[in-house]
Amino acid sequence: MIESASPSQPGYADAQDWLRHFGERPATVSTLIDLYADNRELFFVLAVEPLRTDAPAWMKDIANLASTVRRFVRYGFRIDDASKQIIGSDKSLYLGEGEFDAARGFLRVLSGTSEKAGPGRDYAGLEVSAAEVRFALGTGEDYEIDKAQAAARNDVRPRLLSLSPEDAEAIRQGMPGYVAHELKLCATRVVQAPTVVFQGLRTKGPLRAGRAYCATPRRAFDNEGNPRSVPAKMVYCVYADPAGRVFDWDWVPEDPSRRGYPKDYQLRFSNQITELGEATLSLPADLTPTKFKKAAWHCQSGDCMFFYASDEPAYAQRVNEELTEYRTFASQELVGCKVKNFSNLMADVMKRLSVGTVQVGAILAASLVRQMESHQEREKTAFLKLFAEAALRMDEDQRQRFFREVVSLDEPPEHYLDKISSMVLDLTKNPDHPVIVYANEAVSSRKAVTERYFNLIAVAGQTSLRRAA
Amino acid sequence: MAAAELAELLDHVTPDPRRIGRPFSPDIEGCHREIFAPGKTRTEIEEGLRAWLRASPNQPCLFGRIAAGEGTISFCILTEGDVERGDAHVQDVVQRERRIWKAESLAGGRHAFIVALISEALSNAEPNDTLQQIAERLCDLYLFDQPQEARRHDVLHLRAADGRSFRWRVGVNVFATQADGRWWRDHRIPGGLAFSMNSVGHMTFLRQQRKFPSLGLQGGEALVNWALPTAMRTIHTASQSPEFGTCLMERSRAMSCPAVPEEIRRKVFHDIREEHRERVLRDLAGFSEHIYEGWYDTDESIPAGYFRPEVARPPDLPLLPLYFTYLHSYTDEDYATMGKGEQLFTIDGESTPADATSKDLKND
Repeated sequence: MIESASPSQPGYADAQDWLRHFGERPATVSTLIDLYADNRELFFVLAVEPLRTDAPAWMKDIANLASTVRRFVRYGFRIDDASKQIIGSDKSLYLGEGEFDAARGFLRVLSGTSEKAGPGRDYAGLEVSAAEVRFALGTGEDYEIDKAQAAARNDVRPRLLSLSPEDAEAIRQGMPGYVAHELKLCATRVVQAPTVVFQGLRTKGPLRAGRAYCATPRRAFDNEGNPRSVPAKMVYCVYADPAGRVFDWDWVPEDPSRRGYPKDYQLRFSNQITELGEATLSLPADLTPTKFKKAAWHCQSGDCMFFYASDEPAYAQRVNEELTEYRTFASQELVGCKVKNFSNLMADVMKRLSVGTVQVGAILAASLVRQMESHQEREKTAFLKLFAEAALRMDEDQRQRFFREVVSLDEPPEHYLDKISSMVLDLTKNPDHPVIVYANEAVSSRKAVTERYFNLIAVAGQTSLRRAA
Repeated sequence: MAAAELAELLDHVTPDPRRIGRPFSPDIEGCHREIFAPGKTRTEIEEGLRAWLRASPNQPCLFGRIAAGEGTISFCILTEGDVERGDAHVQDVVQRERRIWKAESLAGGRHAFIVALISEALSNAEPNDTLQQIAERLCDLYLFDQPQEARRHDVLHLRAADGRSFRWRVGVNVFATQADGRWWRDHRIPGGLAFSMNSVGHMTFLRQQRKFPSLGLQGGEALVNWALPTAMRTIHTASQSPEFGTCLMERSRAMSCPAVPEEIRRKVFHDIREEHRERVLRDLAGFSEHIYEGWYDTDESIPAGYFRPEVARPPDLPLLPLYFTYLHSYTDEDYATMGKGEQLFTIDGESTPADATSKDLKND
């Protein structure tokens, strides 16, 4: 399309001779203006053709500056009047007071937009040199790169996201107003232009292929839909199942080391998607919140339960793979939760209950039991390793006693860690023994989780699970 | 103070009260169903816009309709998602599409460029200061070297058959969906807001080169004889609708119009035989081919008069004299080429400019 200079056209050797004849000059915009005034054609060559490697440094500096100016003209720039700076896409130029206005005018001349004789557009055209065409339009290779990038972008089909009718109905039946307004005004924008997209929301089930879209919208919203400032150090996450059903959307704490990423993203999601892609979230036109009700809703597509005890705007804080708390921005007060892997929990609960109504507290209790079981599983695995290491470091007599006591251990689960710790301390006289340290951590972690569940159960009170119509 | 980003401005658009109970025209509604359908690629949105531009009588600009039919318009389609990614991203995208347009224009494959911001919220927005700021900001991102200027231009190149290269300045004009049903209807476009750049000089030069290679590179001749009557017909067609922003000026009035200096009037109104002139302009011969009038300046990229809520033309907008000088200049030599144009149309089998236009459109 746009070929290189032909042998009959001036090339780098001509430009180099011309510069030599012109004499050594500093590599400034003023020098470029002088060069352009002296010989436009060779100026254009200078800006597009690399000089010979053995050209003097001052020549190379001038050629580099000419090339930078050409990039400004081709790729765009903005002017910062305050700092007298011309800022390009990959380079900036700081200019002196006297040089600044001249540089602006020079860029207009190079763009070809400075000739504005008469009131209207021209028709006859102006004959220009091949060097000018190359300066303005670049090479065939430049064109192919641009064309490929444009085609990729223009043919991207946005992924279609939607809300299930049940979830839309839940919004209309008393979910907090801010939840509805942020779905319309934050979630829709986050999926259009995410900072990062993750896949793999759960380790099992269909949500293994679910996606999380994360970004920081420009505003948060209150229960009336009024904008409020974006909470500090938070990002907004929108979660969708593999069919594109959006089932959850929250502010979550930002990862302290990666801007725009949610905290614990490595734990929460399987992998980041390389191609950001684009998505469009279509919502029902009549998605208007109603008066808030303290209630819990089951969301089928997200296999989870949402519970809101208050409509004070809150963010989501992950507790474990099954529980997320909602805490207010202002006071960190606990005002609700999301319980995941709901269908499994519900099956557990229904085995134990004969009544048709399920209370939020029962679901939380079932989750707590599973979490404790899971804790114990993890503890068991860790302890087996630690026991083996401890036994290897003991003398034969100690080892015999240790094994005898472990075999005869018959304490209830909440006490056996204490017993093991005292046993190891007695045998080793080392309070920093890894078994003791781990046992203390396990007890405190278990206590923290238990307390969180108990707090939530207290907040939930007699609240029953609602099923949207 | 830094200019507000497009995303910030888009957050502040307000619904157009005019649309309450008064939907868009059926052609716009139809195009919107096409381009606003969820999941469309930008290429599909472009096809929707191109089809609308091509279909008569959706928009009055015959040059645009011909270019749409010939596939010589380059598009830069921007979506709300692009806007959400920030102005730097928007500028990167626009500049890339602009480079492609220019590169493809060198060989004559393109003449026109449309930068369109497609957004349902934007298309339903009230024409006001916020909408004007969006137009200004988008134009600044496109023509970064001419921020806030009234008459902005781009540049287009063409390599002629003999290897010589030429450069044209290209006018820049804003179009918006808000124009539908308003007095500036001739600047409407579906989907939101757009800038249209079309080099009539580039287009005509290429047409002459392809159709009449024996005439060489005397581009002005073909342009005056094809482009001028086409431009006049564009304005005349637009002025036949109930709402219009420009109209031709009767020749008799133009001959005494104080906006045209006496010296020029003597040259341009009396230097060609009437029968030649009438044969070329036919039904438009009663109008001036030099001066027309409008309530906005057609050379102005973003006329402030568009960004007012009024449906009818506000009475305080002044009537401005406007010129066809971008198509021909006030010189004896150029004016004389009207006669040669007659020859061009005869050679082409197109006896009148009106017929020439019809044929072009039929070829679409």
